[in-house]
Amino acid sequence: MSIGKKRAITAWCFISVPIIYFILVRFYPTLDAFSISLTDWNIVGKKTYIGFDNFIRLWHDPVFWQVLGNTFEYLLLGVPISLILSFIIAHSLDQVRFGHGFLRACYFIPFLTTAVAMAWVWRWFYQPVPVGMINLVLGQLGIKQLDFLRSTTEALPAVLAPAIWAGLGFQIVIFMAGLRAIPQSYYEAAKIDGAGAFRILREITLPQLRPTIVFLTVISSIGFLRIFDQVYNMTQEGEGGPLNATRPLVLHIYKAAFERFEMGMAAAQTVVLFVILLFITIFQLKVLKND
Amino acid sequence: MASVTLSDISKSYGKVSVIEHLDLEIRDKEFIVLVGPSGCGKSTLLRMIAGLEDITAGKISIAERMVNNLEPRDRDIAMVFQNYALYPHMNVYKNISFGLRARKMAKADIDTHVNRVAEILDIKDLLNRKPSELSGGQRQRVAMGRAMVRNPAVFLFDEPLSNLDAKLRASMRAEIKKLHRTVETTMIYVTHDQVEAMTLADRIVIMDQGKIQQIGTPMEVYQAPANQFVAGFIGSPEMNFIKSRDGITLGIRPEDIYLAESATLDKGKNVKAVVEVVEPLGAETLLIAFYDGIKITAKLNGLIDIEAGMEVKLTLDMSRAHLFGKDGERV
Repeated sequence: MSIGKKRAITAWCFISVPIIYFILVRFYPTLDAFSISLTDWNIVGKKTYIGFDNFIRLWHDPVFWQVLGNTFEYLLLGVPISLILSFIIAHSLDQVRFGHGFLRACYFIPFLTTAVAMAWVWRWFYQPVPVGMINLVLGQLGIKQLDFLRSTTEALPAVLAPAIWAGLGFQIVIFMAGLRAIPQSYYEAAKIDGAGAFRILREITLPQLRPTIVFLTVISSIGFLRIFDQVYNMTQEGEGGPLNATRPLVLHIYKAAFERFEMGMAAAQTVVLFVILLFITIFQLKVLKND
Repeated sequence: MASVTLSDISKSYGKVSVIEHLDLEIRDKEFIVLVGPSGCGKSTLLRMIAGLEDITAGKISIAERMVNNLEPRDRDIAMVFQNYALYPHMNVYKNISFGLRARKMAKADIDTHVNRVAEILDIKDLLNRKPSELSGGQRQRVAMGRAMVRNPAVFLFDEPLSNLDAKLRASMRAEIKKLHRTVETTMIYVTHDQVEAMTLADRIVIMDQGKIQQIGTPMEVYQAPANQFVAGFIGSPEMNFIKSRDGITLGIRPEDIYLAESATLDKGKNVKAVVEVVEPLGAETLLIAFYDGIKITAKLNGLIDIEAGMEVKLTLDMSRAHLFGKDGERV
């Protein structure tokens, strides 16, 4: 056997473990969801093939459209806000020498905390006076009290805030690694060339961070489209209320599958989410990478 | 059009002193080369002139204007970096014009300037390429173009040729020299390569341990090294040092040593030595031999027929010998 063949066999031995894992735990259930989406099934009984009935029902279900709208609201608010915030923090942290490690840890800790614990602490923040901290401060400043989780308009941003905060640490660390990878001499050359801070940011830092930005946009888009923990733990009875105002698609799937046991319906929605994720990711990779 | 004056410059990082009380006067339009072993402070000195490093004490003036507290962009300088520091996401045109755009020059003027520089450097065909599509030598030219395009008062070069192969280095060396004649601007050039220093400089500044060891024309530092460090640093192969009992060191360059049989010198000193290594270089042959336990390198005619292990009689040309005192200074 040639050296090349021997190496290939060794490599395949190692790779086969994750491949088998992914086939059994990821790909098989995904494909199974496609077939379940075409059935009527209550998890224990017999599956009845009903064609595209589940999808047709979804199309005519106003709640599903509201949920889809919520999901996109999480995505369209969450991704830009979290990316801009994390970039600003990473860029500032990059310039700081004193207490650098400590500050970075402060931003990273929320990422390590469980979503459930965090959600309950935030839920407490959002309470009316005299319990809720935020309203307490607002009251002292003489600003009108906010309803937060009790309002159909304020609830979604209120749930989104801790979700952004929780992911910030990860994004900051990735941004900082990206910033560190930019050779110092580019900045020095630009300074000698007479570029100001804004021009350096726009013409050197951001273009150089392009791969980092692509990566974080894709990862955080997937994250916000699949938002669940925060909503489940912060809203009354985990319903995604009030009046479905905060309910995202994943929570809707969960309710269909494990409260109403409409597995076919849940699978159909999973397929919809899958297609959305697929298209958004391909679109982002195409647009952001074209260089 | 600018002279550069460094007076009583010091630089330290915390407790570590890199440069101590350094004075240097660089004349207008002069090509000055700072040379020394790594860690001697030459790059730090250049970066202080550029404004990329603060100075701890002293005064830097460019064109008789004190620049200690001026930002790099306000010092009217341009710099070529060791790794060229070309922006990888911009094409050559954008790279060269970056400084002009930063200074808000009109588009038409930028075009004129970039084309003028591209013409001089022979890179007109490359303007639309990205740096990753260029060879080492082409990148080097673009880096020079970016420096030239603004017509700065002073050019700074930080080991610009060290990433090129030997052949390209030699041709770029010639181009830089030509460029200096064309633009007639003060140039400060840092290198660790003494061949670059000798060939390019109007005056060489030899540095070691944060101090200037000698300033002079290439021939001055070669013919009359101020101390043993300079004598050893300039010249290849290195000068031979023979220590005498009274602490005086005799220095003799390999090319001032001949085979006794073919030498006709008035002031020759003959020694018998055993050859250890023979290195034929073609035009000449290097002989490494031991005399009385002292290693001697001789640069001889290429056509000699000597083998390792043989005993040879060498003649040292004492009229060209250098003497250094106990402190290493020239006597």
